[in-house]
Amino acid sequence: MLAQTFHEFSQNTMSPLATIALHVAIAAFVVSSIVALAALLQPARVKMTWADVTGVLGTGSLLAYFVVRFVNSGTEPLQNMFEVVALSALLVAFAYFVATRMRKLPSFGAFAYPAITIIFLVNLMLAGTATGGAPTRIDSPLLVAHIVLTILAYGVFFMATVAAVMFLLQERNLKKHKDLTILRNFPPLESLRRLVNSCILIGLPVLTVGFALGFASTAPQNWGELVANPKVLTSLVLWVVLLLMLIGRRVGWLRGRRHYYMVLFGFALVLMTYIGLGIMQARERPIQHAQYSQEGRPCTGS
Amino acid sequence: MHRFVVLGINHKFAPLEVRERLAYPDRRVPAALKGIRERAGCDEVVLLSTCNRVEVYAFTDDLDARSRVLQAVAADQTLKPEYLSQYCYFHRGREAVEHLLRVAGGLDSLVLGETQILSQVKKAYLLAQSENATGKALNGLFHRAFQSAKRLHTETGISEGQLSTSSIAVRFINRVFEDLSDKTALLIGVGEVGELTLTYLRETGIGRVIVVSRSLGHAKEAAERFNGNAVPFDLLHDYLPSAHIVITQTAADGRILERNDFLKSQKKRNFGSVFVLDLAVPRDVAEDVGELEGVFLYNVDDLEHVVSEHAMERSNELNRCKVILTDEVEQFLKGFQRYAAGPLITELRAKAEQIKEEEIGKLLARFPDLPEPARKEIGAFSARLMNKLLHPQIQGIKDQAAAGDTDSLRLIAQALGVDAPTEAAPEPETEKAKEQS
Repeated sequence: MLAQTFHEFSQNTMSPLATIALHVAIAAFVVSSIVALAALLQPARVKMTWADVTGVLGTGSLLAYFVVRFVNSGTEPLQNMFEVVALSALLVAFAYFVATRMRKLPSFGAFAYPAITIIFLVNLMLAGTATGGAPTRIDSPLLVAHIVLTILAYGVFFMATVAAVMFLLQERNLKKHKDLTILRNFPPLESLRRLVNSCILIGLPVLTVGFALGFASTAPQNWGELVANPKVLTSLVLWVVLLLMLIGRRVGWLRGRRHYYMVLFGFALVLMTYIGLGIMQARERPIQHAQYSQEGRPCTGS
Repeated sequence: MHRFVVLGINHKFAPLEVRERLAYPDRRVPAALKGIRERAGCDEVVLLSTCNRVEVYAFTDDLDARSRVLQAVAADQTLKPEYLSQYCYFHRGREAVEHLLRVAGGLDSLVLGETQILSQVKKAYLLAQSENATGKALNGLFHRAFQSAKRLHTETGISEGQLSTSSIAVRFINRVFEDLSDKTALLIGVGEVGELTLTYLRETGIGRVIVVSRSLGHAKEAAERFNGNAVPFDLLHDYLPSAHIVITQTAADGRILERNDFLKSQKKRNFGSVFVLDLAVPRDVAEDVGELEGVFLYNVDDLEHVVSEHAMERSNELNRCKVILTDEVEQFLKGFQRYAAGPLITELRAKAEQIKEEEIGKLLARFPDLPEPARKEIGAFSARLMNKLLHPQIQGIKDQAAAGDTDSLRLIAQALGVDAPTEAAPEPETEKAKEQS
């Protein structure tokens, strides 16, 4: 069903070259997820490098897709929900490659690649319903900057979340004096702690700027709608949580496991915001789109 | 086959101080090889000296090889043979061959399946070879050992992972800390396992070592070995907050570090990670210390439990190793025994050739006018006859040699009236001084 939805969607909205690039990207990420999980479970037989090679192929193909889309349409390739989510997958992939080049993070790919693949699968589910074969245009440059920065921040927070999950699993394993095969190749706690801290330190300012641009682009037109928009409210809560996390870490009352549970809570908010509300909006969008098309108003949400 | 012997000490049967006294630095090995060959009357000798073992591999006719090699080594190290004897093991023949294959494959190592020993065995062999202390027998044996080790490491998973308590501890430490170069290890009390752990930590690049002991003299000695600092026991609590790794192994009757000690220390260090390895029995660190944020407390039982879990996981690998070892030993022995039967076959052929030449000489002397073609035909006929007569006997010798039946070979040699240097089969002298696992 997913494949059929995607096939119909891609035929309606993309050029053949873009379709091929996207197909290759998805296939590569699926393969890299399987290989990365196999490397986690059977490190002696399967190497994480193989997953990375496939991951690079997927990332390259996804980048090629955006380039082809840009060349074909002549505008920024962020025309609809599908492309915005695809861009988030690309940014997550970039964040993963940067993080693994900066630090030794064995087994990190076993979380990152499946997450990217899941983003794509969710994206495929949304693709047909979100667009109805006629993608919504996003015209405001401020809005595009808002979307890119926000998704970049979420990609970084995703890295922090993966690191936090790995930290909690490894810490529990060590506290219980266990030597589970699956955790033997996890990065050291110290690396994971530094990665989480770095991600929050980088992600929060990016998210702040992203939110500010979002307000700037939409507030003059829709102040009333913004205040009532659950996505905006959840985003504000997320921002406050992240700020508290940073302050709590500095002050010292947020330490150890509590810190990492807060990271998970923060990312749960992101998921709630983007998957929950995304699905809700996707159901409403064909009607909204029709209204906007008639009125000639741009879309104001990512 | 019985001429292969090995005499040695290792970490299983000899404490560190004995191994230290018997260890050979590289510069002393050439002289030692010469001395052992001369004193023990061995044809070929290889001397393997590592931190965990000192072994002499020899190829000798001497039935009293054990005591002669033992005396030679004792004399070389100015030790009493009786002193050395109590820690030594001795293997002869098949068991000596199997022992070397086990050692080279890392199956006799402190860390099961480790590969460093293979390079040490190679180094020892090359050194002996360069000193002309090896011949065809030990060359063949050591090459077989290298081949066997390669098979063990590539065809089984025995070298994946490490199994000593110290190495397991270091593995856990490496799961807590990314980089040890900026970390401090605090050793409380001086003991072998703790120092071994510290040795592993040094190899992984630990930044600073502090040794605390009730005896400042002992602390200083240990600190010197690790380029660390010695600290009096009274100052232990002052140094605790600066330690990332605490290894304790005192002989104290009760706890020397309680939960409150670590709580204070953790507050000072903002609850950063600290790995506590309590190797003492009875334990030095209160059990509830492990519940504190950031503290990872391990005692001997915890580590040995993990070691046994690994051993269970790898029992299949060990079984596979045994199959490979048996196969390699069999192949080597068959090959070597065929090689050992070579002189007997040569002697038999030479004797038959001699008889043939004598008889042809007599025949031709009786017929001096015999034309040259006829003389040549007689020569060829006699050669064919001799080969056909010898063929079943030579095949029989080869079969007996391949089966390792040296008694039969000796009987064949006696029956044929040839003086072949078949191997002497001494009384089953293979003394496993101690039962190896």
